[in-house]
Amino acid sequence: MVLIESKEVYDLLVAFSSYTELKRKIVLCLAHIYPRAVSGAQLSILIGYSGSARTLYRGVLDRLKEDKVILLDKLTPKLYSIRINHNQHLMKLLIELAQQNGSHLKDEYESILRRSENHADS
Amino acid sequence: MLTLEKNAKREYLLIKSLEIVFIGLLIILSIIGINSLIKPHLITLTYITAPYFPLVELLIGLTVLICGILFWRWYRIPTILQEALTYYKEAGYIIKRSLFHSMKIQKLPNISFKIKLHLYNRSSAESCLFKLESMPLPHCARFKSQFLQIGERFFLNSDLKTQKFSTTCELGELHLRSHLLSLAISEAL
Repeated sequence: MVLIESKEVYDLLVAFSSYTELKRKIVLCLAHIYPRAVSGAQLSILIGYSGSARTLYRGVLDRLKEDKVILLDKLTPKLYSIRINHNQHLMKLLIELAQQNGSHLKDEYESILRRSENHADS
Repeated sequence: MLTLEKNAKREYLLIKSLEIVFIGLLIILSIIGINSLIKPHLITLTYITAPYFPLVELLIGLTVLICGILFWRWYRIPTILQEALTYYKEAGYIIKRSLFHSMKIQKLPNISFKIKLHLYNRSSAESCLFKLESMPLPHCARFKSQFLQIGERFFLNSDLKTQKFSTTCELGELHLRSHLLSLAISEAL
């Protein structure tokens, strides 16, 4: 178990609070499902947005990538792979917190992903 | 918020229309002017010196367009955004407006950053985005890892080429992101 300093937690809390609700949902979700990468459509389902994935791509995800909070890999012109930036210091902390304390939420996210993958296959 | 976004997009389209008309008129006048300079005996000069050619009206139109563009680009900021900017005055910042919806925000003589308002971003179809950029921090070139670490701590982009911190945010994020940017600059100094 890694020792977490309160100052780092405070830094994470303040920086996180400066984000909009959508950004916070995205980052929290990605931290819980780490090391998994998801597509825009999958991310929309996970965070409970019914909007088209393209809306996420063009704006919010680009800004999260610009702030080096997430990694965005363009697999095809329309398909992106989205994952948390595990090299970022505060994201490492968030991942650690999520893994230590967020097993229930992680299970929920994974079951949503499984259902969406089964739905896509059928 | 939706009204604000619609208004911002309308203002953006208005500014673009003014600029397109302005550029179009400028091209027409430039062609006429260049033709008359190069080949004065062309029909163009005859047309200009004809009993009636709306040269004065075109020049007046251009002047009006320039004034309109400057007004919308420089002076006019939607009311709700002006309210958001009053935060800076209340927090003790000094605001200096410049052209094209850019502002310089100064917290202390050695801590300042720029804000550029984007009324509408065509590529992402989003309205009211603010691009925050710190002043250049040239001594950070010597302490690259520290520069990057400070950026990471405050969720800012640390650009080693321009030696600046930057971020783009929405209206609701503006205050805290500005605060974090100020903190990052003061730590980097």
